[in-house]
Amino acid sequence: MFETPTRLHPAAIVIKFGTYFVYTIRSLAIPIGGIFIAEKKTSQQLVTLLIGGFVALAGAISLIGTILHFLSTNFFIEGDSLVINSGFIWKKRRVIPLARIQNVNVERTLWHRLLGAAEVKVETAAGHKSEGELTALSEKDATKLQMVLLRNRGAVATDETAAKPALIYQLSPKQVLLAGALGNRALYILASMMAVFQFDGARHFIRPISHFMNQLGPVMAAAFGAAVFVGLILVGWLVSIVISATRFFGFRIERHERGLLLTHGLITQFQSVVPLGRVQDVRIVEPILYRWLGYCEIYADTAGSFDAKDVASANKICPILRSDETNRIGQLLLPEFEFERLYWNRVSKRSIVRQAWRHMVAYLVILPLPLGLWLHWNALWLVPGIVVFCWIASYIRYRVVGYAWTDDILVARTGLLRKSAIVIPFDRIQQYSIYSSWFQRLRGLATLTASSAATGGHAILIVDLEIEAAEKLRKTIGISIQNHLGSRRSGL
Amino acid sequence: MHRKFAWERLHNQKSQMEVPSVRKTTNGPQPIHQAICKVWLYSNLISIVIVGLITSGIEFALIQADVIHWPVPLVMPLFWVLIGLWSSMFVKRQWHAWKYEVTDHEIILNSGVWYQKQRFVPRDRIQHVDITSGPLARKFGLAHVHLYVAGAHGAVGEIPGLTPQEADELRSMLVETQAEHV
Repeated sequence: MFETPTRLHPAAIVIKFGTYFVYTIRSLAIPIGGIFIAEKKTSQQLVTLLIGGFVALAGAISLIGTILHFLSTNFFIEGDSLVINSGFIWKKRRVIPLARIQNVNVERTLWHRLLGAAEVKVETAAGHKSEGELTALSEKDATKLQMVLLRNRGAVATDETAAKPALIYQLSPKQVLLAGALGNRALYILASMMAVFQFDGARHFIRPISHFMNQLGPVMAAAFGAAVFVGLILVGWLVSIVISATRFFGFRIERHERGLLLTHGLITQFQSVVPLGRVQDVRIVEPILYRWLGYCEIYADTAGSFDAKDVASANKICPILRSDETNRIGQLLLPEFEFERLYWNRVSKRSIVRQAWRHMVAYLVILPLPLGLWLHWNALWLVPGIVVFCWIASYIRYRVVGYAWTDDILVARTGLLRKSAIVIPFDRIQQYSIYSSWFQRLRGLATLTASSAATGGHAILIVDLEIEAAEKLRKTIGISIQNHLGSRRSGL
Repeated sequence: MHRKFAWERLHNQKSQMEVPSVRKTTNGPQPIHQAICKVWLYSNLISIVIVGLITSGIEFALIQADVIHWPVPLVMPLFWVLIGLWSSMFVKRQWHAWKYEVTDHEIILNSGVWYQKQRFVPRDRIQHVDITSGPLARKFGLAHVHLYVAGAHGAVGEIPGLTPQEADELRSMLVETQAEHV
């Protein structure tokens, strides 16, 4: 299967056209911008003609580009490698050893679904983007290719009969909506709306509103302003729910022959396989609202690339998970995962004083200028409040930050409003360090870090351990890594 | 034809007779070569001269444009001189702080004066080892060893200031124990 060079699905021409068009327009942005600047000096007709010409030129360039991309791109499996040929003028041949493949995602945007195609993204441990991107294959070919690439490393089997996936976890429509409602997108959306108003909206929206408010009394104006603000938040919140509902519609986790299969999406459908042998760490994130309602989010980082914009390759295993299910799902990702019966150690109590001072100094350096300009000497009244806030926040931080270990895993937790814990098996730790700044040494404190091969940049970071405790933990990590040398699983 | 790196040439000149025997570990923490102080010092000075020239150019333009007046333009050169003196004062202490040790299972790198770091890299996690040598390092007969593990964006650890044969010996020592995985 796929031993001979296979071309992309013709849908690639349509799908790639949009990307190329945007790219070309972006490249032409400077001359187009120049036209807008010269608008006042040139006749309107000429400007329209020039812009039309640029758009037509961009369209023509993009169309030729997409056709050449379609004609020049092909892929095949040669021995133990996936070979992707691309490029018309600058020919490129990418060879990805099957053994190095971390993950293969099949993604279907609305265009793919309309045209009966799917995109395949192949990730290795290198870089921050998918190393192999096949813009469009027929849905059947995409699934087959995913299966072949994710089969036992290096052994290309042609058996198409895969066991039917077994359902492990499913989100109800109510939970999907709850994930949207609890997500923190409302303020981003509000900020985006305000940014849009900045351009032209001031004339059409903000000025009439402020004119109307001037006619009201002070109390009514305040109430009206608050109502507008709450209304905008509400709109942002509803948009957030809609985004979440479309993205995570029909979310389910199933057992796949090579890991877990995540399927979700209403408009763009995502199918992502999490290769369990490649999971480097598992993270449990509990934003405050989630925590109150007994939910959390769970992430698994592999050594593959995780582009923040690339939803299909996102490492979020479940957007909303009941807290009592954490251990079950965690153990599917890492057999040695344990989160319920851990003995949590705290960092040093001296950390409270150090962190309080750090925050006080930071706030008292940053805030005087803006607050002083606004409130003048009255700003000094805020100083006691800032001091109290810093001490309370440092105390709460001390209570929250902790670390634990078992024979197989190292765990650390942190975060005030957004609590998060990271679990790294000892056999996944790539390097670990002890750091101490001059201020830390004054108080006998140190920071310990341990990182896996996960490319997302998530690592264990335990700040303000007592130096003796850091040394003890460091020795424990060293010994545990040695103890696990023989038990290395497949992958990194 | 294979083009030899400068450090290789240097190494060949200096140690054609003595091929280093591969040891498994170092005997405790090892200091780096003291000549690294000169490399750090000169690179500090070069950086300061370059930044100083750029700021002088900007200041000259601002004086010409009548935006700033004497003695304001003296502030920046004075600032860079102070920075240069400050960093040069610490070169020796920086060298003192730098130690590396190869044990049976890991490489331990100690560094830092104000911000002290102790990094542990398990030997079987090393993906590859690079040896580099810039013009200044070459002038003082030094090479740097860079250690790479999976998942890190760049070298996870650097051991500066080794003689080419030490660097070669260290690389052989580490590559020999490279793990069977990835």
